[in-house]
Amino acid sequence: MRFISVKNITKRYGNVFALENINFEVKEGEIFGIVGPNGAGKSTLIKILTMAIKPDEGEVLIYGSDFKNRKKVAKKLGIVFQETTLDVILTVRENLFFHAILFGFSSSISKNLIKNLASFFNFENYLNMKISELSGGTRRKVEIARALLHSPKVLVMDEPTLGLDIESRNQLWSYIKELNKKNGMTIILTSHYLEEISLCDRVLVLDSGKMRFLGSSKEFIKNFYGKV
Amino acid sequence: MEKFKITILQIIIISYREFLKWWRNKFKVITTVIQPFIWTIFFGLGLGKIVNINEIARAINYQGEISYLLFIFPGMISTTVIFISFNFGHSFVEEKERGFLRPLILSPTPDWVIVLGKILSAGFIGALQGLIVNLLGFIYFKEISITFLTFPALLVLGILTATLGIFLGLFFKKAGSYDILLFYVIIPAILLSGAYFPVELTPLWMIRLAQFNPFYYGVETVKKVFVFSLSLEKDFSNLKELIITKGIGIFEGALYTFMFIAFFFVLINVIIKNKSLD
Repeated sequence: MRFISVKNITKRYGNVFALENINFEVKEGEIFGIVGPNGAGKSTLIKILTMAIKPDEGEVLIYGSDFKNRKKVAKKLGIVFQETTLDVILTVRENLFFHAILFGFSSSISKNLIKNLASFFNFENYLNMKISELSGGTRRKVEIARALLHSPKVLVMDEPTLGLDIESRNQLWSYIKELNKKNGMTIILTSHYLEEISLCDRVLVLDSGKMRFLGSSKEFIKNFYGKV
Repeated sequence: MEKFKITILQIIIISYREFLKWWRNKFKVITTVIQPFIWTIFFGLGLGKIVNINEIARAINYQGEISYLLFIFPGMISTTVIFISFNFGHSFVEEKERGFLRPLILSPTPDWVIVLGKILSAGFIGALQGLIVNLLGFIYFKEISITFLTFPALLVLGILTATLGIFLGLFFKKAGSYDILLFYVIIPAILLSGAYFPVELTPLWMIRLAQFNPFYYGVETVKKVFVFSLSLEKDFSNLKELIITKGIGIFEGALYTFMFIAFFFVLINVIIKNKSLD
């Protein structure tokens, strides 16, 4: 079932095209990678997919809902942003609790969800620590945990492993694969790393806001590695 | 009913989040309280020597002894509340600029709930700091008064300022640009609010202009509460008459302030309905 549909979207910043005539669909349960050099339009595309911004032209439909109904879509999406958006002055528990309330959970359910996710991502001991006191890897885990609090159907991640050491990256990928395999969660992510792209089912390659390739990751690596 | 309960909880949690962020920044809390207190001492004791206080007393229709310090103290507290609550507009633009607003706006929580939560917390924090300055004044200057109506009056002013701050913040992408408003909008509006001199003593065109100034009504309410409490301290037996004479003025000021709050809140929601806050 194709439930994420991107039709002819274009986004300009002034006279510069950040994205131009982008078309693709994402199937349920797949890991979909968006790759490209810096300034290719990956983050703009992620913002449009998560309905943070509106395209100038074209349409994005998620479960049949467009930008006007973005609050309906919100429950289906879990989002991990490129830059940290956790409140650094607040504790891990507070950050997660506030987020759970925003997604409409009661106080007691929120506490249970936090407990379960902290156990899954192995940061129970850090729950009462401020975000500013955490390492980059643990912060990333907390951000992913926050995105998963409401059990979304789709997890959208913008450069989830950027700035992490190899061990943290591998650990994070084992979580991502587990979520995809066990829960059937659809994953959309952007990445710079070839080894991460190889873990995706399909890949969209962007360059200067234009689509350069759309196909399987195997096909991408075979044909494009070294050329993009 | 369940949906209503969740909405209330969301408003509380957004306000509480803002409150925690403010409370944990102790340096900011202390400096914003001390600054107006120092200003009051210099303004009240310095400018008080050259100002014709009798003319001011006539203009504000106050019978009895009054010093310039006593006259400007509610204005000074109002300035504290306005500065602090308006600064939340800066934080709002900064959150937009740095992407910190995204987890909120990309949640299913309606945008108006997010805005309301932020406005209430900004108003509350502004009013709380105003109240602390009031308490310091009460202890230090002796003649400064405080009543049960002080905090609600400061809260209404704080909410008005925060609503205006967030409304203006919608048009800015950079927090640095938003700060220009302080010099071109907020300080002139404070001066034209009657905080430091009665607007009634100014030229007619300034009086007319003040009638369109939302802060004029907010500050007026705070000042009327102070006059009410001063009169109450002098003659408690006259409570009924005081409520009728002064109470109506307070109610009127608060009503006009609420009308401005509602106006800007509706405008905010019209703007964000089809436009992302990102």
